[in-house]
Amino acid sequence: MEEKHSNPLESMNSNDENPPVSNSINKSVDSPPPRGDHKFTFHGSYKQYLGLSLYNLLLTVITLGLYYPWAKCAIRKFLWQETEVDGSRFEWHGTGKEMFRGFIKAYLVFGTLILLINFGPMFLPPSIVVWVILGAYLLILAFIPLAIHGMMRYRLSRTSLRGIHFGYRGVLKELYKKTAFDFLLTIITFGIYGSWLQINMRKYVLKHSKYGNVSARFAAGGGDLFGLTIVQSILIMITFYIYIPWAIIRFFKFYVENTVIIQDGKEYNLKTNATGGGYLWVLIKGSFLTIVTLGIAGPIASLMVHKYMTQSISLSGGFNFDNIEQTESAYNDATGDDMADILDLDF
Amino acid sequence: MKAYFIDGKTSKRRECELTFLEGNISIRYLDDAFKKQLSIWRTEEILKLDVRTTSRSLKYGDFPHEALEFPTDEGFNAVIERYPEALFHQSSYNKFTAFGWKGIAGALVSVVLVSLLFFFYGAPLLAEGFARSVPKEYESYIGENFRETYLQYLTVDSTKSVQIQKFYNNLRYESEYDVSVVVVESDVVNAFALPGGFIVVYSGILEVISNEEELAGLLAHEVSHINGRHSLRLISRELATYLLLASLTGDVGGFSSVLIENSNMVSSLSFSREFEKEADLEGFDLMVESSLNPEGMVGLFEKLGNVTDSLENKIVKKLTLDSSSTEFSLDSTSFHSGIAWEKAAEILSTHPAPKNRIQYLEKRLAGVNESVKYSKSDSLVFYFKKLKGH
Repeated sequence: MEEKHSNPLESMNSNDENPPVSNSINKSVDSPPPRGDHKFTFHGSYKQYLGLSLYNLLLTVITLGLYYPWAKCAIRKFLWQETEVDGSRFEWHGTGKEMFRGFIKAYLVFGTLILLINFGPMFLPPSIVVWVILGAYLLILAFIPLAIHGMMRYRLSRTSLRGIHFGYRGVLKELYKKTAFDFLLTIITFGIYGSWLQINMRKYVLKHSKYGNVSARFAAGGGDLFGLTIVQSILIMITFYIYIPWAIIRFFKFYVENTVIIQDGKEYNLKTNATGGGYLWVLIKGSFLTIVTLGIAGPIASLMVHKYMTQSISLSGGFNFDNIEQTESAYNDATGDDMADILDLDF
Repeated sequence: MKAYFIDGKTSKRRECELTFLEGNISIRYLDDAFKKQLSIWRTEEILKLDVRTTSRSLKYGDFPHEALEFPTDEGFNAVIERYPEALFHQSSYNKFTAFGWKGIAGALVSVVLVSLLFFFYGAPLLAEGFARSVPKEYESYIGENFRETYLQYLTVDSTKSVQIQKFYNNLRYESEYDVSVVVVESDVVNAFALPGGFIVVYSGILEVISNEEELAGLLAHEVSHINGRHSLRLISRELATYLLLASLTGDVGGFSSVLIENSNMVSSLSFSREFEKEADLEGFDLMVESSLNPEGMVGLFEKLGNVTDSLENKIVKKLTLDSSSTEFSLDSTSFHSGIAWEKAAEILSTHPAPKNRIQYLEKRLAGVNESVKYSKSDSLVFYFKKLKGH
């Protein structure tokens, strides 16, 4: 199970939703970060999150879903503001209104395509229906880079720490050029090449992600992810799925610890001390709570996971949070954010 | 008042001193001998704290924002207390938080109430309204497409189709639709209706039926589905319920999967029990109006009851042997014999039990005025015999 809401630091430097991990970087599983490391802490109260979730739910139900972008925005404000590093909190600058505009645009595009796929057979002549549906699927595929690009631009530009905004400088055309071939290979190889596609995209996206004058890169390659996937899949199978929480943490570690932060030419590593056992324990507690309360405590359970993952992360001590310059200009198009949401992408 | 000031150009935090003035806050550098003025914030330009958290920071003005970070709660609260009328700390959510656990409980109860209201009143109302607004021509058009798609998977018995159509025409059932009936070759004991006036009868059910009144009952039932626009109403109801579920789970994005489920509903053409009952009773009335003995419908369900009893045993065996293919999709070849058992299982779950159907039909039968005379139509007998191959 992944975190429901990505937090600021994930969008800044790691992708996490299906977290993995490389073998080389898995030495100190349980050891706490050395003194002086910048540890991420999460202060959010479960009670407040439950209240916020129910408040959002009520308004969303009453408005038949139209309130959803404002709900999402409020949740993000909560998650971002409760995440602290080096004594400062992350800030979410996005607004419900911006996200509503993105939501409408994304739904116009995807709503049409999804309706076409599902209801096309009802009102299209059978002779062309297969082609129309195939075309719609390809279009959805073709929107993935656009969605990632839009999401990164919006999400990073609306996130700040110590008054310095994050930002994404990638060029959409370049992302398409870089990934078109990878997409093709992935289709031809029935998904096997997907690991390379994913990593190449991540490399590009991270390379163009900025935090003021701080930049980042992704250190691992597609082969690493592929190998990891094979090994983890085998482990999951031979343990009859018991290994799943450990596998999820391995992937999480892979993404976090291969993310390198570059400040003034020096590289700093992100680390996580999350463990499969720790993660499993959080899952058990959360599930128990959810079941006992007939689902009402669901938001608490998802926040427990979020907190566990966030608090496991630290950045090497040498990084200087006092010495970052503002380099971004304002940006406010949220379309990509909701596209990514519909496609269930979370970078 | 001490705080940290961030100027929005670099991440450096500077210790500063705040002085609260009327409508604005003066910020001065603390480490400087001259206490240099860093900024003056007008309270109306302090950015809104939509969601108050444990964060103790304020942002100001346009991008790049200046910010203040407070080392203690006291400092942060002092600002809010000093400017109680200012907008930056006011939001409907923050007002809601003031109710604490009571607010949470209230929100929970309201969610449940609103959902129930919507589920039992809103969704059906919305669905019926929508279904009514769809023009008949469009409904027929949808049905036409379905028909073409389905016929790809079915083998039509053209001789029997002509006979059953003539049989149907002689029934003189009232319908606003131009109804056409076909017989397809299959062992499956079933029949179904498509929106806009198209009825498919499997040859399997013809084997079971033993007289023309039972067949008239079957067709009356199917025509009632068409007349009642049940397919359309069912899809609309599912969609309305989906809207509720999507907003409840916050997963508006996941609507693709629900839509797929909806299409499955369409493809399997399984009417809800409610619609089945409606079709039974409406069909019953259709028969009476056409002076046909409605006991034929009771007889039909008695036969179907026997079939389902023996089917249930087979289904259990079949499902334990092959439980992998219980799903249907729109392009499903569910009419191929291999999946027919699951198809039958589905009918069991979405239709009222035959015993119940016989019960309420017999009740209806008892209510029919005794003066009503049923007639025996020679042409119906004639076409029925032809259909049975006599």
